[in-house]
Amino acid sequence: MAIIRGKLEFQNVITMHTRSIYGKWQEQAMQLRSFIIKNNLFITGPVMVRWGKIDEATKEADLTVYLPTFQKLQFPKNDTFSYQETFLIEDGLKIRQTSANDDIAATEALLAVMAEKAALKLQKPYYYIYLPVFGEYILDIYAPVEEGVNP
Amino acid sequence: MIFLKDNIRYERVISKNDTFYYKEIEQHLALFLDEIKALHAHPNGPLFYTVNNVPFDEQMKVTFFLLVKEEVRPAGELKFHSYYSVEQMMSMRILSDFEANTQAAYSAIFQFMQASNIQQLTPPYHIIHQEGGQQFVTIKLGYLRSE
Repeated sequence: MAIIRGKLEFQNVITMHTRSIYGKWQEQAMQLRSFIIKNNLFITGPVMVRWGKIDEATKEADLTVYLPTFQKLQFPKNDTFSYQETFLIEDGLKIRQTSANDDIAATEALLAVMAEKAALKLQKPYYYIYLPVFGEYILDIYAPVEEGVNP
Repeated sequence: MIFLKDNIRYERVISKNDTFYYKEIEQHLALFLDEIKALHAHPNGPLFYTVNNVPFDEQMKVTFFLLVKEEVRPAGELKFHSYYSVEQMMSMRILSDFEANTQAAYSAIFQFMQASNIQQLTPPYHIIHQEGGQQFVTIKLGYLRSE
């Protein structure tokens, strides 16, 4: 599978900060989708998630869900939802896993090998972008390149 | 015929919001394409646009979109999207007499939504295809099934 170096950019992104059992993001993505629709907007991109450190006892982790929307949205400041006009990571490596059910650890190991060969340092946690295809998901994993430590 | 299981799923899309007198759409479209050319980006798929208002006063609020091959740093009012997708859309294809048939397509879609208790969720997307020397347009509209 090809590994591509480039940026990751979305416009008008609503972010939801929550907590979940590691791997379970679908319900939270639906909650964020409902929030967006109730605010008279609609989604213009795939679900993207990012996981924090896993609690070994509970298997829970901080979960951030990102969805881009059609235009700006203003709402009262709160701890769960936030908005940014442009979400941009300038530099990173992206790899596509043809099924979201495949072993993510193996795919990330490949990324690590490529990064080492290219003398790049990758910054965890990575971003997981779920692309719907024929009732399932393809998974793009985006690993930001750490600034200031690379050629 | 209205197709109910359509979507838009693209990577590397440049967009621009614009407002103009409805008869000037061709000039504004040309300007959009020139701005993309100035970024040294090359088209990689259809041009499409949304009509974001009902132009009662003949002023159209439009968002233009074009798929490109390159990741570019957008300039001016251009915006870049690594992915651009809209799910759960209905669509109709128009093969000729675009102005009249677009109106007919809008009418058919809105009548269908009313009859089926379906709510409009997005503005209409107009996708302009060029294939084998022929041009055709697909109108797509995101919807929500009323609960």
